[in-house]
Amino acid sequence: MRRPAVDVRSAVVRASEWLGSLELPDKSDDALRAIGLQLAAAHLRRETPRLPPVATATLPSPAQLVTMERDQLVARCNRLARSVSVEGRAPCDSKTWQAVLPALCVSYARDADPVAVASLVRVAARLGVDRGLLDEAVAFLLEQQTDAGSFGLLADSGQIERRLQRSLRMTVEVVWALAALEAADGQLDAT
Amino acid sequence: MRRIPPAPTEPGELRQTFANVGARAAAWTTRNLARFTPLAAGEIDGRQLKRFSELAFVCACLTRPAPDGSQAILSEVLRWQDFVRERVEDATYREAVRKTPALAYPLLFPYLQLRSAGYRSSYHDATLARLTHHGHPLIEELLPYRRFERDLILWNAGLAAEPAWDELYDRTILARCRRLSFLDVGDMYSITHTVFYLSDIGRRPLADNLRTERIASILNSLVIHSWRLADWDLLCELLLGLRLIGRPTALCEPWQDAAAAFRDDGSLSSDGAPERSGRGDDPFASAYHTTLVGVLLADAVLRGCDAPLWTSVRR
Repeated sequence: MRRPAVDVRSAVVRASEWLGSLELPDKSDDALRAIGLQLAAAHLRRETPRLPPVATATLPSPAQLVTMERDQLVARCNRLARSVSVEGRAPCDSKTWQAVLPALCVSYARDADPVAVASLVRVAARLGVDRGLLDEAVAFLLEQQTDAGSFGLLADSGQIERRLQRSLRMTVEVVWALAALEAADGQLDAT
Repeated sequence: MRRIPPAPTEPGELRQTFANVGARAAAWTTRNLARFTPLAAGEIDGRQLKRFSELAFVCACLTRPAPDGSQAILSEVLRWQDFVRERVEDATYREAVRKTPALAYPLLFPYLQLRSAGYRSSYHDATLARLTHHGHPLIEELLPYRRFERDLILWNAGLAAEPAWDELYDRTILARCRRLSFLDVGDMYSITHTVFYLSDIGRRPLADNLRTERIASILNSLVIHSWRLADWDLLCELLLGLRLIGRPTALCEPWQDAAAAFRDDGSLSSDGAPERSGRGDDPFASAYHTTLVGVLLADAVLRGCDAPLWTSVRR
């Protein structure tokens, strides 16, 4: 079931092209677009994505992560993915994360929530969860890509302007997750 | 974030908790036995029959030597068994099977449960002989997991050959699913029921280790999903499935949360779970099924004390 790397790569290339061609009515979104392009480039070079770092993040227990409110989960995951160091990994063993994070990704995929899935994939990459266990999450994320190259199936999202903003945000979220996974894979290959 | 009950100091503590909630849930069921009657206004009622059948099924599952700590449950189950036997032998009920052969299997289902525990009724056996002679109930077209259920129940009742376990299993969603995000709630219940039947409610060890690991992995993933949504009914069925195949969960907290979800009166309600249709204002209707599953789960926790309930390191 594992998605060939070439599928992921071509999805990121298409997303990058979409980001590059985007005409944004609100110039304040330019910064987000630039981050997206930077993440896509990092993915294609198999480099660790560089985002403005936060010093430290505390890893919740797996049980806390599962029972967390959705918005809190996304915020916490994003902080974890950007942190220089992670505190609180003990006493939960990695085997527990290997079981919980892929399952939680699938649970949010059932809710049709690519942003939450992408956030969890980034944390899974950070904690070294086996790539094969995340195949379903990655497949779900790739299925959210439009013909234009953006991520997020948002035909029901109302006004075009609002839809564009949401597409931009989702595309950056998904590309970030794919880049984080690719970098984690690259680090594994190097060892 | 939902409040999670304090972690137990050891698995024995959690087992004791389940002994207590299981006994309370069984007592709640006994207090509500009248609500399980298959008759409404002197006639067979479809909704009532479903409740009655579920009670008979749980009776048959639990009518066996009780493990330590489960005697309180067994003593209640024996009262349920008397209740089921009396209703099945009621003249209106007995005649209904012959009057409406199209409904013969659902009507005979409770009797088949009693039969698997050794009870015999010459009247119902004669009805069964006539129906079987004319090809019933094997003519029915059923969903794969329902076919599994029927073949198992007829075998346990001494009326059919041993189920073709592998063949029946291979047709189910559990055997065929490749992506869990494709499953709807009905599919998840198909999976839990397939595990119940494949393991003959814990009486048949699963020989194929690879298959067992795959099933455990699927159940564990769905445990995380149902626990996140506080869907106690599905969560308890999934935890029960893992117990029946002797596999642990990844975390201890779903067990704690499930035990804490039992109400003070002993009932366990599915209220609040998403994707579940409302059951109106009748607390019994929204609680009876989950409570019965809770009793089965408590009994399963108390059996096989050597098998770990969870694998994770405590917080």
